[in-house]
Amino acid sequence: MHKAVLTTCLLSLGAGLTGCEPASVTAARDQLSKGPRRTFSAEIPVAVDTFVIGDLLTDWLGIPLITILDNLLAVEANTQTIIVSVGDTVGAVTGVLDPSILNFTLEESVEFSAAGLNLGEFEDAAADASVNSALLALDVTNTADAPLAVYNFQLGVVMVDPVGDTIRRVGGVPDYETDGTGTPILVTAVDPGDTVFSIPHSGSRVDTLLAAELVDRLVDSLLAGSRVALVGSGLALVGDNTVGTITGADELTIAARPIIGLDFTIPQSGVTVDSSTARPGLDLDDPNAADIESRVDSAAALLDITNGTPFGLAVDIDVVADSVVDAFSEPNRISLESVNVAPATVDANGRVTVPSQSEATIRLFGVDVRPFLGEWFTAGVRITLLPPAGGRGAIRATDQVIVDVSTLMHLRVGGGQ
Amino acid sequence: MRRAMLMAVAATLVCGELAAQAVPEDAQAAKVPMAYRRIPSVRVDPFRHLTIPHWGLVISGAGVASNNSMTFNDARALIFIADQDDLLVGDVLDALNKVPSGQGFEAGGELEGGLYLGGPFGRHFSLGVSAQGRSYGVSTLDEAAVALLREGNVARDSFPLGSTGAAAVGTEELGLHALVRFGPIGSADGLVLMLGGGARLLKPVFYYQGASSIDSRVIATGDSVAATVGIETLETPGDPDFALELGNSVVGDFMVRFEWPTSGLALEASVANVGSLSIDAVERRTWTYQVNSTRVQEVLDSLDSDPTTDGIQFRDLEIQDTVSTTVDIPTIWRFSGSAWANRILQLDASARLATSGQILEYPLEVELGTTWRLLRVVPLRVGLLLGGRQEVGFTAGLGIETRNLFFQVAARSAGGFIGDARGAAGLLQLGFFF
Repeated sequence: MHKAVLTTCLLSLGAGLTGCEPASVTAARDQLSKGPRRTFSAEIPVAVDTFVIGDLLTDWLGIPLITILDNLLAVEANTQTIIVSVGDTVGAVTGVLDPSILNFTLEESVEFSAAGLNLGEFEDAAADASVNSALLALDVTNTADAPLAVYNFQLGVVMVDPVGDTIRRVGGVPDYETDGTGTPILVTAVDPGDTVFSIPHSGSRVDTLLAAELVDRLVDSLLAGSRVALVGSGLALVGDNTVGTITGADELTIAARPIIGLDFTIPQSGVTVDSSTARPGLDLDDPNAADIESRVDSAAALLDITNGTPFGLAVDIDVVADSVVDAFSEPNRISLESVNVAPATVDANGRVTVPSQSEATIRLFGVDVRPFLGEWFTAGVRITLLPPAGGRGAIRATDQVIVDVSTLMHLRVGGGQ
Repeated sequence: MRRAMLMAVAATLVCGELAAQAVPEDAQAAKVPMAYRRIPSVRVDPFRHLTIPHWGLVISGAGVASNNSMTFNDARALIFIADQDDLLVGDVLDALNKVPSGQGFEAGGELEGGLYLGGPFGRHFSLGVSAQGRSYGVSTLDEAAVALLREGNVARDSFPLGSTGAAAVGTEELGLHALVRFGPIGSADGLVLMLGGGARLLKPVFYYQGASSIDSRVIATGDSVAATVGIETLETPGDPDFALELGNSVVGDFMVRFEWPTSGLALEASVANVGSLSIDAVERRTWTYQVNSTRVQEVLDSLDSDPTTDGIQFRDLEIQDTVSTTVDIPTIWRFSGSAWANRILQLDASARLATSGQILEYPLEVELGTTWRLLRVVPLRVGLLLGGRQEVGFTAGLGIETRNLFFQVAARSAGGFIGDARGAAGLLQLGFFF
């Protein structure tokens, strides 16, 4: 410390004795820059960000995602309830209930709406894509003091005419939507190991049915603008030859909730999500930032992207000075070159097995580095998920994109610049 | 070292046989006491005044400061910009760019000042006492540490702090030196031999040494910045009450000089600072800093305050214990010679051998000087400095050397001339002889 003070004092004294004071700051800078021409090259970490695709989609869709089988992410549509008036159908009864007498053909429906799918901004992608994994969650409640058993309990999708009635075939049966072979797309609900679907008296049961084809048709039809209903049908038997009571108000309610797995065969145009995040810059004031900008020989943004999704990625980065909500909507944003990243290696079901790694160097020009020099900058990252080979890709909770961004700056130093 | 001494002795013996050209009796040279022919350069010279064959009192002061990077003009420019509150990061980069490639930043300096009182007892013996204050200091920033700030982190990303550190020591000195003269031997033109010796009692006034630990380094990659820095300092307490507890040491100084007065030749060898300086009651402090972050700003912020961020450890300088230490002040070997070129011109050459101590290191330095005596009592001196820390330098001086008054001023610019110099030295002496 003493030495440092001593040296400083002597240098200052010597400078005062031997040198004329510079005429101006410019002249002083000219003097300082008389060193050898050299390049100061710095690679500065900007961010190592992990974009969990599920989180991005949650932000984007505005609703939480759930995890279903095989860690697959899914969207829950709103619940719609099919109501069966058991009391009206079989009448009020008290005593021993004989199911051979107290039975009826069940066939009721409920209409779904596109808004109730909760796909939000994902609607277009979902409309163009095929849903490969979906569930139909059922919550079935029986208010009667008598058990119910439904044989051949099936659920299917039927178009609804303009007045709200389900469309039927000749003979009066519902005109269920069919697959490519003309076979109706139906999901059957049964007790495990049995052929009947039983509901206890004054009770309820919850079931989850695999229903990819049915839900896909439901989603596609709704997003295509059609009116669609979910129809439940079967032969309902009331009672079990024991004493019970049925009132006129008793109902069987079938609450159905489609769960749409994010397992799509996505369109060639891809599915785009974006996110803007404010980050601290180098915190240089304007004069310093302008000085550094004037010294830039060349600069680049270095991207090291680990793609843990089954999709190819097109990554676009826009940068804007200061902290803003949406970098992509700022008029003075700086758009960097787009970077394409190969998809991860996937198995036969479209699940990621080995993430892919890509590096990219994006050349920056003069003014491009300015946002990084201020107190804050906002980096907008727009990721377009591109279809993998075969088109199918499933988004799981573990799928993520790691974007490691740094800036490389070569600054002119010395050389009497 | 042994070889150099043998060379000096051999040269002396050879010169003893030479029939050197005598200085004309009417020349200025012949009228100047040999004592004044010793080069009054800016250097540690315990025998500077003892050779003068008169009783007298001399007040002297000298200072040397240099660095290997910035000239005075550079320093002036930097100070000017800072005074204007206009200092930019780019200015700092330009300043760091002055540090030579392959080298770290080095700066060093010495200050001395004091009194001398002494004189001869007859023709063959002189005795002098001196009281002086002296300080040395040096700071270094290791090449690898400089490289991070000068070249950036692309070519390399690991920067050990290496020899980075600073040290300074200040002493009060009480010296007693004696000189014995023999000759002229054989004839009136024969050799005059001078043997000098003495000792100085050194009392430390302050001492500071700070250095980075051997494992200190900064790793700056494209995706993270990690630093592990350990610093240990040894420092005498600031409380002056402790001054008496710092201890004393004795160092020795020796000189041998051969003169052929009528031929105007002289050869001299001297060694100063033989010994070491012991300092008691030195407080040892340590400071550690560790950071590992992917954000530069977080690293910078961590230096401002005691952070709570995971992965960052910060501990302020804390006194660990009080120790005694020994400082190896540099032992300075010097060989010099002078000769008359003509009636008014004396040629001087001096070499200071490379040496190193705990505080200062001296590279080999050769000084070539000329003394012009257009007026006998007003010598003008100019010279050239080769080697040393600055590779080249210039010296100039002016003296008034009368029987009763001795005044000497000398200056040196190193590494360039005046404003373009990277170092400077000054010497001022005022003596009164009885």
